[in-house]
Amino acid sequence: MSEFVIEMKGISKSFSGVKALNNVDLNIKPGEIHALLGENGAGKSTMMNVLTGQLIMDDGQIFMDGESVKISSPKDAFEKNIVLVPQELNLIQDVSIAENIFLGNERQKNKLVNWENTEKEAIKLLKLLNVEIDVKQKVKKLSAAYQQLVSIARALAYSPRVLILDEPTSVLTNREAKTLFASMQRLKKQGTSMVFITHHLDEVLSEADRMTIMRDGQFVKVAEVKNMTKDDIINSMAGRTVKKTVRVKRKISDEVFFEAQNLNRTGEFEDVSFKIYKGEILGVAGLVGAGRSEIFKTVFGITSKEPDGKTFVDGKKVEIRNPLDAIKLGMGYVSEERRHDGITPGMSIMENMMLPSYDQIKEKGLINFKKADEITDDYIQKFKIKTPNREVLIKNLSGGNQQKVIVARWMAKGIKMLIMDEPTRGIDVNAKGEIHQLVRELADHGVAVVVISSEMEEVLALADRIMVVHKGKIRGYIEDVDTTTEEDVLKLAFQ
Amino acid sequence: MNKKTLDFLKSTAGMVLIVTIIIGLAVHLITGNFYTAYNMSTLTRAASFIIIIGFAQTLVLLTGGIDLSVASIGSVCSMISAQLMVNIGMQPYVAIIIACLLGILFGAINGFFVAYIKITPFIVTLATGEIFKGIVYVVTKGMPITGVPDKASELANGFIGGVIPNMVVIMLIICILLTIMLKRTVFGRHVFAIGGNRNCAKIVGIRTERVEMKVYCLSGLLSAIAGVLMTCKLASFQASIGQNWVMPSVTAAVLGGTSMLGGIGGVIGTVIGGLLSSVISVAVTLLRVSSYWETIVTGGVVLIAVVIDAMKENVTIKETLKRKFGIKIHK
Repeated sequence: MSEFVIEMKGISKSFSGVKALNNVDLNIKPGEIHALLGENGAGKSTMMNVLTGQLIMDDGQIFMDGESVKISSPKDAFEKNIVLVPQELNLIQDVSIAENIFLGNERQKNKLVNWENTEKEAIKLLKLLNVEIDVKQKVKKLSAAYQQLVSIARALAYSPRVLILDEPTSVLTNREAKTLFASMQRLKKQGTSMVFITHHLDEVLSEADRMTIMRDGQFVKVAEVKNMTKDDIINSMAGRTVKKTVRVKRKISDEVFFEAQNLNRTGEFEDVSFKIYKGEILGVAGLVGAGRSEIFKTVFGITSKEPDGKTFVDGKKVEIRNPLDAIKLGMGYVSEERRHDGITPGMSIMENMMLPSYDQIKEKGLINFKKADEITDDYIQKFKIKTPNREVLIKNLSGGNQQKVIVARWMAKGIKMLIMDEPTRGIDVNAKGEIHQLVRELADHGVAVVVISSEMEEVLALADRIMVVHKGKIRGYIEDVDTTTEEDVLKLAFQ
Repeated sequence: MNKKTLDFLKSTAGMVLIVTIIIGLAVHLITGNFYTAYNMSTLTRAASFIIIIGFAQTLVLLTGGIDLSVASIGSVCSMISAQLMVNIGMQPYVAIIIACLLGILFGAINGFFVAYIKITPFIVTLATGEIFKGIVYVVTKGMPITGVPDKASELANGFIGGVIPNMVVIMLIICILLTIMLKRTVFGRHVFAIGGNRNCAKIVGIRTERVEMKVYCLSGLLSAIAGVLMTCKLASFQASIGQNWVMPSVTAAVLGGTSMLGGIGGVIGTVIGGLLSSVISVAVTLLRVSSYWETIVTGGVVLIAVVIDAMKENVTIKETLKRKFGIKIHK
């Protein structure tokens, strides 16, 4: 009997000539939580796609319990009880929780779906995760966090021996993540092995047993978690010593750019009033679902406020009925869902960057593309966007670089206020630092920046002032960010 | 060969163009009368109508919608132009222009329901298409309207310099105008942006409703132009005008590389796609194959074209092919 459930040996995989994986090893012991770490593009997902049969490796071998196995389709992987919980939530919104859990894996009786059994088993699986909800309701009624748990329950329906969790906590709040970790520990005790992909190193240090670190498609090291510090991990991931994002104290003007008075949206937030100063970075903290994103969606005109609320720009009362109104007043918005709202995947970097600015560079009714190209090249250089040229389709860039294009989009437009919702979600350590730097530069140029983030570290590193939102209400502000800790923010939220 | 030409040849439109020329060559080799002046002139004239209707469809497809009413709008406007010229005795050119402009109005009805009431384009245009078709039958009782003035007939049947058919010139002018509009104007880029990602388009401040409205109006205008010119060509209104235009319009657009999901494509591709459809139809005639085969061949070609297109984009299909047959497809 082998020491490992899964041994992946010397895995290589190329995509049209580019080596995505080069001779990578990964061993997983029974009943362990194994963190798979690396920056975006390091090859973690490719590795897992090979293990789950979605991609065919060019070279290498996979052993299960010491015996060589062939996994050449997702079906093979399921049959061997290797199950992936993907990062993107792929639940069907209009279908019940129970049905989603057993989708493609239906409980049947005489070739018909056995609903009674489906519901009973769904409840049982969710209980493993400590979730008790009505499984007959539609998935769209659930928060992102609960949807994540439903995805995991779906994986559990295949009674996995190896469960792969790809960034399971990226949409969860700390408390929800803790619930998830408790469930993971419980599964571990029952002998399930888990591969845990995450960008949150604290989670690795507290939850995982061992880790494998990858960089640029290559294996870097495998280590026991207890022998590694956070800095060790970061340095192995980046291949060099990474500078920590440190707080920079900045001077802010006392001119108010934007002011909101008594904004309301039933069910989302109530009686919200605040001011944002020119050149200020306003951090917005709170749990997911606290109403943070909703408030600023309304500010930008994506959703409409109830009529008694008032908004002011530069001291003048304004009506913002749609994003165009907001843009005309000098605002920009970076959505938390980059793929869903942020980019137009089939368009080039140039078009994605210049889309809102075309009106400014047209001559005699036609767009001056020479000017558009110049502006784009300028930002590619300034923001260090990694791409061969401006004509590359934006979908082919890494998340960090896509995000830079979106920030550049608003800079090119010449905005005075930028709302950024989860600006670095799913972005690797290095790119994160670069984006933080960009945010600071923006503010230095007098742009008022709103940073909504679930990562307390990010808020503490960036914000000049923190607004704490809880259950749709502003609970207070933290002015002196330097001496603030995560606990202070939470205390303010829950007081 | 420079990179742009090469890229074009590798695109769907490029491949379709090559296929079109090859079919032509093959038929010419067998029958000896494909690349003749007469055949070319008849073929391109017939193709021009499908292509103009294809333009209408292309614009709507680019926004991620579909317009099933193109044929009926063409038919209604065709009838109106004939009524104005024959029964009211209006000056032909004035009648033609009025009938075409009414196309905008009919398109606006689609646009209103799609853009502002947010009903699925498929349903809206299916319904309005049936209504327009019904109006034609109610008004004409299915009878033709004959006696369209020569001046109008000349417009669609004439030649410039005795060589180039007017119809082809009209089609090419529209093509050039639409290409400039789509590629170089803000409105054109907004059309692509809406089809590419509607949410993103809204956030960057595009008035998605207004753009969509305009696109359906344009589609109505182009459909009307095709219909009215058909009346001119036949020198009479026939209830059958445009009856079979919906599928060819989609075929021309899709063969030309326009995506049914929106955001990708263009009108130059539609010219090529429309030509291929017509070449197939002429080939079937010249080869003395029963004309019943025509739709089978066209359908097959469309399937092959879209499958190849899908394979270029789809990682899963690529992996499956590699797994099963060891085939590698490069982009």
